[in-house]
Amino acid sequence: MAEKILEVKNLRTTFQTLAGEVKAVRGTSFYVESGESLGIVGESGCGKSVTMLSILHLLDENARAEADAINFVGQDISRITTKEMRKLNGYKIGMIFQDPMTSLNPVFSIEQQICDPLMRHLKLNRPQARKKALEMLETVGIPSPESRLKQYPHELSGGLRQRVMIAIAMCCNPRLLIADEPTTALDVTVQAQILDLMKQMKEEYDTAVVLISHDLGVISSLCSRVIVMYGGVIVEEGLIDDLFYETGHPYTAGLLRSIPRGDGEKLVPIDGTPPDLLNPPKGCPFAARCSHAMKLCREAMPPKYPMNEHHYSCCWLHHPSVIAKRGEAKLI
Amino acid sequence: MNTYNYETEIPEELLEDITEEEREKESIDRTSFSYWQISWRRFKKDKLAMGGLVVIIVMTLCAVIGPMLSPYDYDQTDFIAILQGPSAKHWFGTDLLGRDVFVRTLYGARISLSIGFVAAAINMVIGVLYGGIAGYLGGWVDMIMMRIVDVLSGIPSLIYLILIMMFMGSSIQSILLAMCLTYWITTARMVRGQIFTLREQDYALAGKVCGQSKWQILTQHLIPNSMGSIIVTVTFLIPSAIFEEAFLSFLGIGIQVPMASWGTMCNDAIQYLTQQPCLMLFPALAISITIFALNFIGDGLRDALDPRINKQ
Amino acid sequence: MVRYIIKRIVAGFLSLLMLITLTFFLMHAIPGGPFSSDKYRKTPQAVLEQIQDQYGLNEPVYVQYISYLQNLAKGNLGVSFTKLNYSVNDLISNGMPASAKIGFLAILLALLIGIPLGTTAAVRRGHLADGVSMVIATVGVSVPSFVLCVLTMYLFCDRLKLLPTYGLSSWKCYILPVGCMAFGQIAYITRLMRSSMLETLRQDFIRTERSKGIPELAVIGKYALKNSILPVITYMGPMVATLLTGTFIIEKVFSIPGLGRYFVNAIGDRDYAVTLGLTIFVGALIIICNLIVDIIYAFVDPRVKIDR
Repeated sequence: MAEKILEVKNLRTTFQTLAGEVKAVRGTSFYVESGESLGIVGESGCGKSVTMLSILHLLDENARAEADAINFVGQDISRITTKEMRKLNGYKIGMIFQDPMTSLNPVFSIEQQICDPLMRHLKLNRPQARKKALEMLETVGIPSPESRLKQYPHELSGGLRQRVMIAIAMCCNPRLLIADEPTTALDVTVQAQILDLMKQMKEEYDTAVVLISHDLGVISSLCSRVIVMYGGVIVEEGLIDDLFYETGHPYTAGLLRSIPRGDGEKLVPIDGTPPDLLNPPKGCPFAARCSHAMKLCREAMPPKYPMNEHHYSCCWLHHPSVIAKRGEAKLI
Repeated sequence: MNTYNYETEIPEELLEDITEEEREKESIDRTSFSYWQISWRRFKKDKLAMGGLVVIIVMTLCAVIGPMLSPYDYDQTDFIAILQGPSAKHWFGTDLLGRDVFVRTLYGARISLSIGFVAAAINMVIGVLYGGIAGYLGGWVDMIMMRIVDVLSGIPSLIYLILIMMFMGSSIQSILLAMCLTYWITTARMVRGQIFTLREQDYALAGKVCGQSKWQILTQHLIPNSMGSIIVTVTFLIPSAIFEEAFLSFLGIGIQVPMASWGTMCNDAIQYLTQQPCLMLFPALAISITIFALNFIGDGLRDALDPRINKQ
Repeated sequence: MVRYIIKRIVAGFLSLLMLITLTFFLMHAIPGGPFSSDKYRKTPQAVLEQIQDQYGLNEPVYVQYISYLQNLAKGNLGVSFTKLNYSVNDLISNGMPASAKIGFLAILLALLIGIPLGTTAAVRRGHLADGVSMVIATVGVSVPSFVLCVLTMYLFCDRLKLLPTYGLSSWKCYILPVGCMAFGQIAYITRLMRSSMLETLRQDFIRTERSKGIPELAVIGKYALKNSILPVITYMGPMVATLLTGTFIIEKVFSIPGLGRYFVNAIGDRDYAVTLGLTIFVGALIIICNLIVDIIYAFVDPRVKIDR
């Protein structure tokens, strides 16, 4: 069995806002094995990005993250200072962000932006870092890297910028790469190229990948295992096939129904909006939008229900008395 | 709270479907507020800005009512009581000609505040019109209008002011005119920039698709949406107008005696600084407090009206 | 880049020409001309005619304008109409060194204090350091420089007798003028720097820098600073202008024989020729400074090359 390089136990993140305390992540636990790729899926505001940013100590000042433990290659990174964390950021953990237009510093050249982490983490000198940067740009498929190094972000197209971002994130050969909606802001054709590139990089460097997306289609093209988040909690987790064929949560089912499959079947949107995380419901967060919802769902948060070794779902529909009364629910 | 899990028995009634009403109750959104309501709430929370507002309101009231209640006139001289310190009779003391400094300071407030507000108002109108037209029409009209602004803004405004004051003679009207010739440039540039970005926004496009005329789009979408930035810019124009009037008067080319402006009073007071520092102190304090308050109001407005941090 | 610079130079030149024209015609529109004030009431008409002839004031206005432009092109800014052998060029060469020295020191001081102070305030937003520096900065922009000058002079020179009140004979003489001049600018730069730093820190790329493992000090001091210093650079142009006009006050209060003082005196004496000449000189100086600032900006911000 592969080693768990990242193991998160009971992560809770809150934001202080003018309106009150927003509970963005309410106790999530999951793990990433070395070399695997894990997808995190959910709609905007469900806490996917916040979860990963909390782990990396990259949240804004008004946020507070707490966890029972976050183990990363044998070190508990939930309790180290941000300063110590920075020694791991960009070195052992790389991150790619959603919008390559705004994620690169506009007034520094590509060379400066890629060489800085190389010089800091790998203790290279300037010429060595430059050489390594050139190699990286070549690896991520940027044509004429020599001239690109001298350019500034505004001189590159969106796809090229995202390639630069990947080069920066991968340049120190990290154990874990976190990609937060890496293709959302790109054209569809470029999306596919970037996903291919990420797949290739993952194979080449044997890096574990966490891919955050609201698009199950994107996730399924890269990931073997998926976490479904809703309202700040994980509602289902499992291998991608289990999720598709043995769907255990009505929300996952809703997500699946809203992917265009091209076979002429009608897309079904999920009605309503996500819960207000200022006052999160005490029961299942999805109850208000769920067509199967019972009074029970509003009363108590459903615990994990194991469906198989890797697959669990948090839904009361799996309770024996529910099945006894209403029969097996047909989710899809 | 009861804790249930997959092993515990669950009471029968909890297994019933959620009724429609319960669903409704759950999905009621928080009351939503308009942009201006939210901004006003945020502004009210800003203590410094509210303090500034109170100071300016009090100052305005004093400037309007104060001189009427005082037994002295602003140019009433009394050669028996000159260069006095503060007393029960003359709250802020008297100047070289025995004029009551308190009344003169209040008169100064009238002049300074009215110059500030009038200059800001006129400049807002000119700036919004000029910038709005340039930004909305775009193309060569914008090019020409903005080149004109570029050339004009190259000339330092204070030099303009001084020249115009020398040419027109010292009076409130010429100060106002001089300021109107220069200040609108900042507002115009800002408005044009705003309109330029806003007209690319989807809602402006949506207005176009719905068949609204250019004028309707400009007045119904673009100007209201840039109103926040316009207000902030104009708020900061008020203190700089007051500042420059004081500056000109201090140099001796602003308001002329016997009229009182804070700048003139300070200028007069310099010579007697060692004998009667109070003469300098009160008008100087008045200017500083006013500008202080206006700056806090401006800061507060800027934070309150910033659409990006306006979500909650 | 070259196109951008040429465009700036042309705009600057046009501003200058416009300033000269405006100044010239304003001066000539003053009713009665320079020799009509009360001072000359007893002078016989024939003498006045002759004086006017001497200065070329009886020529048609456009002829005077052209000859003025020709003189300007030769670097001759004109002579006083009220004092004999008193030329604007002399005034400039006499007054410029003192004004320039004080102005330069004030700019240096303002940048050296304002930038770190504003940055600290932004980084420690909402904390004590932010509150304190914001109050100082707001006081700084709220107190007019003449109030500051007079009060500090009263305090340090009159009362405490620590510093000399006038002249520039020793280093002590520089403390108050430079300090008073810089104070308002420090305040303004602090505010400018704080808001632009806050804006920058909100940007996505700052999170990228952090995710690359750059220590916070370098994120702020290198990556965020270069972005947020742009508005300060833009402000440098107007700042030179403000400082130059600031010298009017400072030099008046501290009796420093500089450009500003000559300017104020000329205004006071209604010496139109000198005012005109000095206006054009100061205006040209400011326009040139703006031009330099624009060019520096283009080097710091690579986006300028294509955007404008």
